[in-house]
Amino acid sequence: MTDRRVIVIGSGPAGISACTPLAESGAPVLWLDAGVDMKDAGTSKREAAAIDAAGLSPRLRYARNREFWKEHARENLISYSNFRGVGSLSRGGLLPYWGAFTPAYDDHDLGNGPLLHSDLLESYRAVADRIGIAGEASDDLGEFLGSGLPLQPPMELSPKFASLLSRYQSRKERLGLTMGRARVAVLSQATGDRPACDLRGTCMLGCDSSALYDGLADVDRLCASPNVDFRGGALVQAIERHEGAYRVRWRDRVSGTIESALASHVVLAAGVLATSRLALSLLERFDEERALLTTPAVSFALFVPRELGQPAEARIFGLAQLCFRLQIPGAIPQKQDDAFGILYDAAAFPAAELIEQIPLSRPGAISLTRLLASSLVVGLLYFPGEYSANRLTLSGSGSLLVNGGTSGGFGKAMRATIKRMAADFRRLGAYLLPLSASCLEPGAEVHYGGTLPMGELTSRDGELLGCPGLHIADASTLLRLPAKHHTFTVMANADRIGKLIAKSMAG
Amino acid sequence: MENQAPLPDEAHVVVTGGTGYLGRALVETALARGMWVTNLSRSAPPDDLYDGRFRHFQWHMDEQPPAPALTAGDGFPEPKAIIHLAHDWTTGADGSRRNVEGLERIRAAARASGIKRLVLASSVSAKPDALNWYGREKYLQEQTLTDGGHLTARIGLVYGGARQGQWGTLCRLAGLPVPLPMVAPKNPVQPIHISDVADGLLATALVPNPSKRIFIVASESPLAFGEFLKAVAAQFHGRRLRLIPVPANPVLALLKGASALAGRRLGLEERVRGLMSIPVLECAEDLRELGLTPRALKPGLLSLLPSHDLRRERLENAAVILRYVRGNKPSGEMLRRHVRLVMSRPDIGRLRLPAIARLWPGALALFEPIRPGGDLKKCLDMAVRLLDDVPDRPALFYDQAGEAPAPRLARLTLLALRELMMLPVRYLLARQDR
Repeated sequence: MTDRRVIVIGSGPAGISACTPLAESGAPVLWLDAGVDMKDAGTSKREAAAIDAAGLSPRLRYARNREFWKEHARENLISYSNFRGVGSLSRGGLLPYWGAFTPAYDDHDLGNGPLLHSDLLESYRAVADRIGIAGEASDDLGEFLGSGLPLQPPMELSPKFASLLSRYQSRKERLGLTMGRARVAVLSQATGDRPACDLRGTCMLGCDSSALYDGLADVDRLCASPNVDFRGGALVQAIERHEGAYRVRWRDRVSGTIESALASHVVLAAGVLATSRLALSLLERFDEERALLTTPAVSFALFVPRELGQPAEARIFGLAQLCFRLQIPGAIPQKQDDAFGILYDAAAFPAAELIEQIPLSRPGAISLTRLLASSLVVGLLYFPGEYSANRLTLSGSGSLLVNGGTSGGFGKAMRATIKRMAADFRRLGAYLLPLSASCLEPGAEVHYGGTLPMGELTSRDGELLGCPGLHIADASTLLRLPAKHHTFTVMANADRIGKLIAKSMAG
Repeated sequence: MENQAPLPDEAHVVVTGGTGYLGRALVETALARGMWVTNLSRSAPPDDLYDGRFRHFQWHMDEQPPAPALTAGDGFPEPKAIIHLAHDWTTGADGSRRNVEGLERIRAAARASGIKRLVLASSVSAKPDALNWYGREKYLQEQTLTDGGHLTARIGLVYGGARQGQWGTLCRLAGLPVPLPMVAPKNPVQPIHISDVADGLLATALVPNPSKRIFIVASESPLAFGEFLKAVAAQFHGRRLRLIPVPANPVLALLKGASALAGRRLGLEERVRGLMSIPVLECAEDLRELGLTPRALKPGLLSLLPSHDLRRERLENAAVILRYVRGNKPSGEMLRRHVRLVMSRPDIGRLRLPAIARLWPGALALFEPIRPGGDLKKCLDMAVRLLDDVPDRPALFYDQAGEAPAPRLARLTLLALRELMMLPVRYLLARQDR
């Protein structure tokens, strides 16, 4: 008789969210995570950013220890072509480095079934309660970002954003874009064990106060559950079927030994790339090109002349403060989705992030940044996954090959959208800096999904084809990746799956 | 760089030609790993060169190898493999015969002693119709290896180690202060550091279940031979090399004539022919199977330099760069941190700052490249990040006070004018040294 227990693979947003209801239910859980205790690299965060990682989010650049994402491709046998793949081999997955933007998906975002918003609502609420989300329910984007959710008051806006938003309110009829407060997994009000954000503005370097949700406290709490057996440093190499159950094989990254365990249920939440490799290997789907969805992204900077000469604020929120949606001009019917953008205060960025981008002499770039930062806004504009054209193939030798790309119509759509966006922002008194609109490499924005879509290779509950009891809980099963961030939805779905498994094990 | 496959520490390998260019590196690497090495070659290495786990037997390719060399004894365990590096440099049919027969003797001796693994050090230029004798000889040798446990390692363009043989020649050429006429500068080569070759040969000797008989031990990413020479000049000699491409066929015709006069094929003709016939061979799978991750060319070349020389050069550069970015003299601590950062980035090679910048760091502004990338830009960016690495926001980067829009606009205008004037000069002077 095989072990009636659950093996959860991965300690990122999906793994944590699946493990939480399982731990609560008392079900026996073996939790495998590839992260090892990160040795102190001995570098400061800014030195770490100096070492490499150009083209990636500043949050990733400032991680003190590069091991976690440098080794990811090698350990998981992934190779990239024209794709900036990012994965994490550390506790919490990519949560300690995320931008914490947490919108919810509606039915259209979910691809209109098999999974629907109503299936996720209860889980969205449970996750929001657990992680804490600050945002505005009743502004123009409140419904778009998700209604009916427990929210803390939105974070205080910098003066430049406050005036941008008020100008928007008075001119919105003449604009194509719709603007609202950002929805971020940060506490604007203290809860029992976590303080409120004190607006120290060092978010890019990592939150030292735990006001920003990073999953680590949750991992510690879950590991302390009596029914959860956590193994760190466990790099899962394969999952096999074994007499109606599953054998999960992993390598202990510290000792090098290969270990395995049996379970009746498996929750696979290792991140889209690693998960896809494991799942496709189990299904023996070799040499098949599959689509990998990403949300092509463009970074840009806006100059707000009104703010010229303003001193740097003492209190400032360093993550997204405002967001907007914008119709893509000439979008063809099935790509009817909007682009979605988020805005940051450039004054909260480490100066080097801006200085590096300016092609003047260094002293010139330094002066320019010092003189302009308080009147600059940095933005990220995302496009829906239908504009991506990445391919993922499992080779016969078990390694995963990822080829990045965008659809044929993307270039034109992007330029047209940026143009429209620039025109709208001009009406709000913000001017797109010339040469600042720059497309991120495919994959660099780190929104991946859709490799094992529900209804094709997985069921509505993430059960892999022909593998009852094995559930994929991360973004691999999503049918679509709209321009909105997907992590909150992944967490809600994982919570739902966790509850489902807990119920079936109890019953 | 660390190679992945764990190799048994106590293995005993027999090496032929262990006193040659490649042989010495192989023996050193094996001994450093704790392995036992038996060397067969015509001349013995100096007595005190190696200690403990090394023994030498005299052997000439046209003799039978001495049986005690291929067995356990004197504390040496049973040999696991023979790595055949010995090569007779006679060209022509004579040379081929000697090399093939020499290999045959080794093969027979291995069989007699029960050594199952034999590795032939061959070359990527091995093919039946190679333009040079070496390539043809190696191919003939490869063809004689038909036993299951007998493998071939086809080695790419080796650099590093003692300055002799082909590497010695290339190294000297790249260091010449004059423009260099070069045949076939665009032909691709796959350079590999000699230590990686040594690791690769040992891995081939010990890999448990080889999936093939011929392994390519070369860098995965080929580059033009001219670019290789320029990289050697830039990183090893700290010089800029100019190449004058010379058409291959006339040169070859000249050399053939000279060889005819000399009555034998000149070494130079062999080399030029060799250069013209190197193919590019796929080797990603082979390297993976051997557990080999060859180091990239830039850091590989830099590792050949004495580290304190490189460090001193970088310290001098740091002084100029930090002075330029900061506007005043940097502290010793800042200099050391900058050097440490630069050393930790294998993609950054040697940087030669313009002489005028050493006298007047501000002049560096005229040499800053406009396009992103390049070693100078990377070093400058590091300096900026270091200067921002203090607890409070430094006034250099952050404007805490603010000012009225009008004076700010004036400041910005002056800045724009200054930078605009520099642009044409920067465009002309900036050198892309990626």
